[in-house]
Amino acid sequence: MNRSKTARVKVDARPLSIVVLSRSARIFAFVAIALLFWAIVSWPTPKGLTPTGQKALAIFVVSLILWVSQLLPLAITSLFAIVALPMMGVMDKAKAYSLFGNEAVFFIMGAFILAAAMVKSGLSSRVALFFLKRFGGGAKQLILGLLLVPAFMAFWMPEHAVAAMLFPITLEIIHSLELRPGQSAFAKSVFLAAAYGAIVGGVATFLGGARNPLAIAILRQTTGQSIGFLEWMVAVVPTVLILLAIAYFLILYFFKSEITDISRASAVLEARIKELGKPKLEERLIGLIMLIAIVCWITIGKTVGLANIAITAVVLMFVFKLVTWKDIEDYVNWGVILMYGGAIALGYGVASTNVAAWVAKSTVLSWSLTPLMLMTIIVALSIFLTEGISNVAVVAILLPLGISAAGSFGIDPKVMTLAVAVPSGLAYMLPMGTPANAIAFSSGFIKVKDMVKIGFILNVSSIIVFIVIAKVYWPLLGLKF
Amino acid sequence: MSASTTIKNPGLLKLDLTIRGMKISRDALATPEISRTLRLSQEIGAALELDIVLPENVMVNIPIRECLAEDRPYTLTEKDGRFFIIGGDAKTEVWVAPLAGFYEKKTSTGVSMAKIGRTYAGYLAISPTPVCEFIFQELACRYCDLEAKKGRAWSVEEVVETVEAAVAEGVAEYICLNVGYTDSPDGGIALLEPYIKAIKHRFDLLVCVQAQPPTSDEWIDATYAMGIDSIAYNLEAYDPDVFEGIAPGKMRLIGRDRYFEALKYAAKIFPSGAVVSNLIVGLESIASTLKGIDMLAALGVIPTLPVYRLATDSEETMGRVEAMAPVFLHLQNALKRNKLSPTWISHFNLALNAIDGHYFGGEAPLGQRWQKVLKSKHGGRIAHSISNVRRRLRVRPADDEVG
Ligand code: SF4
Repeated sequence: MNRSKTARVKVDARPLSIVVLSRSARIFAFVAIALLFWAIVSWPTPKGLTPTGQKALAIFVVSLILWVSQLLPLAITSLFAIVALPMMGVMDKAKAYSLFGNEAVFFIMGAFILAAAMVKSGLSSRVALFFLKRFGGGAKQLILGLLLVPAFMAFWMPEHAVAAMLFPITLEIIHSLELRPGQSAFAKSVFLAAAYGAIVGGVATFLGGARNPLAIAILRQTTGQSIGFLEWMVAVVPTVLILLAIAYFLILYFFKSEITDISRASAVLEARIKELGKPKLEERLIGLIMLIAIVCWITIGKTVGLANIAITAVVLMFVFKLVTWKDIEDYVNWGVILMYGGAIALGYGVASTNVAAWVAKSTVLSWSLTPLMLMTIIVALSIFLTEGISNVAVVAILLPLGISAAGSFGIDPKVMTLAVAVPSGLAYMLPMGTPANAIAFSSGFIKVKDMVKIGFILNVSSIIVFIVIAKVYWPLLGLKF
Repeated sequence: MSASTTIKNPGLLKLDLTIRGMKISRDALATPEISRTLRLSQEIGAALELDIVLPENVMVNIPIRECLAEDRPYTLTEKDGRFFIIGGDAKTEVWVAPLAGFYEKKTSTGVSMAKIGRTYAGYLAISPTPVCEFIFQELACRYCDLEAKKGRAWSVEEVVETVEAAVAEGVAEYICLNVGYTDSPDGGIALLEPYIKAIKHRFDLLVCVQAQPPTSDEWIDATYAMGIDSIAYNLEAYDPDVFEGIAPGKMRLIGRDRYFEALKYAAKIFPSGAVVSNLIVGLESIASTLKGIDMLAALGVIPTLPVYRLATDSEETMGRVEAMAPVFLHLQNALKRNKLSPTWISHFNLALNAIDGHYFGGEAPLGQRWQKVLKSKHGGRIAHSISNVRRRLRVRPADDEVG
């Protein structure tokens, strides 16, 4: 009998009327959402909006509320959107479902499967340990290593997978140094560095977070334009490097290390490497396939198609029996894939019915803003919204509106895409902001206030760095605003 | 008060029968109801009881072996298939409930069901496991049936089969599970969990439990979440010395204060009137019992008052009924004062309780309407559903913020 399990319940002893009310809050919320939907649909159609646009607006508002409140799982809200669009006559059902087959969805799926193969085979741990070992000279070097290694790895695989893969290693390092929760500033630095490294690195390519390809898909569906793999990297990597440097100095400043001798931590890394033994054939092959895929994405991605390259790499892994379907099932977050399909369809829906343009006109366009002010607002909104809601939801909500507003301000839609997608990946402040933060927080060494303090400064720094880079560096790449 | 006076008041008669006992006439002994009880009692080597229904449906339960002695003020007789209790020159007709048929059945593992469960006036009492730390540490309660604690624990299936047989026969409106004390944070209640789950899964029955207070209150939450509808942490005596004397294990391993704390907390968690505690009347001074009643009622707990069974007709026992009678009236008033309704405790028919208060000069019985509902054809099921809904609303995972 599992006694502890039994005891993990709490009886709500408040008056029954209050209990019933609080328990019914969810039902009331759904009723309120349904009423709001009905109200938007049945109001007299505002000027500048068509009746179809009005229905698309209702679906958009309801999806927005559901994504933000998470009353339903993100993927289920997406499914609602994809069903509601044809049912309300916003688009043909064949079109709605075909958007689920968007290239971005398959690219995301391929990227997830490749990452799963790397984690499962141990290749990702080997790469991390290989690089980390090089930073074993002292406490500050180790922190730098724990920031740079996950950042680099998140260029090539999802940031949450990097954070999860590194966590046991960091935990072992901390245990080997006999550090205690609540007392050790070094331990805080270690966990924060690993989390922030993965987060910042995750915005550098399409592979670090699936929100990036989603943003590209929305850009393509709404404007027909696109951003290539290399083009994205070239535009974003300088921001990443500057942010990593800021994160490093902030961590050192706020958490002054109480230890200097980290020889036991180096021993842990050595032991881990020994444990892994020589690279197995399957690791080498997975590494080779991954390398080829990366080269292809950079060189011929635009012509061949990112998803085609990703899926071909996946097929090759199965041809060589490097992974099994069972491995993939365990590692891939299928819910996220569903979420993306719905978000793309909704983005297309609000753009094709001019809802996005109408919302933009009634809000930002009616305020007398300069392009710089608009960009700053969008970047700040993305970065602070992503602390509380899923980064995918931020992209799905803000990007269609942002792209629509961009035209009137003479901002390149690609710039707007980057201005939403990149900051939406930069959640530093709260444990629930992103899985990497949650993993670091779960160590028990970090308090929320530690994260909020340093995270807020990083948020503000990120806004400034992003805007400065966009203003000064991007014009050199032909990206103007 | 003479037997011929007492016999006219079912409440007083119940009390006097419990204190001074009753003998059985030869004709009554020969009736199938009683001869079968005696025979089975010998066969299973345990004392069975007679359930006797007095006028106005007042139930009294008397161990049959106590009825074999001669020095009793009352006699159960039989004439033309009807039973009477005679006391002095007065008599009253009663009904002797036939022995439950399932007592003669065996589980699929070959255990006599009479050893597993006993029915008392509509409820089925089961002690699924003999485990008790008090016995192990030689601190057993003085009233504990140590012989019965020598056997093994019954399996969940054995218990379920017994409940099924009792329910099929219509003699189990509630289940009352008893459990001893274990030296763990749950205090023993966790041992009952698989039985409760199985019973709740298979039957629409209310489950009452007599257990010892757990060390932490979170286990009281868990007790309710398990599906228990009414909980009893029995204090037995209010006077600390008497408490220690009758239940040394409870005093030394748990402590009297913890009983009050746990009862108070449980009263917040369980439905009003579903937390009970025994105070044995006759064990301590009447004044002390009255204090105990007031204290428990103020905590939101319903005191139930079993009577210390002497079963002798002696000088000492003669005046007891008069002395005890005011206690039941006091109980009724204490419950009224604290707005407690004894609706959930009709299963404690063995004890006298506030429902019986009017026999001792009180007002109309409390909670009688609800009792009628519970005993009606669909009443039990309705009560069970209400109880389930309440539990579903109130129980949450511990990490869910309340408020
Ligand atoms: S708690 Fe008392 S009565 Fe119950 S089993 Fe233990 S010793 Fe016996």
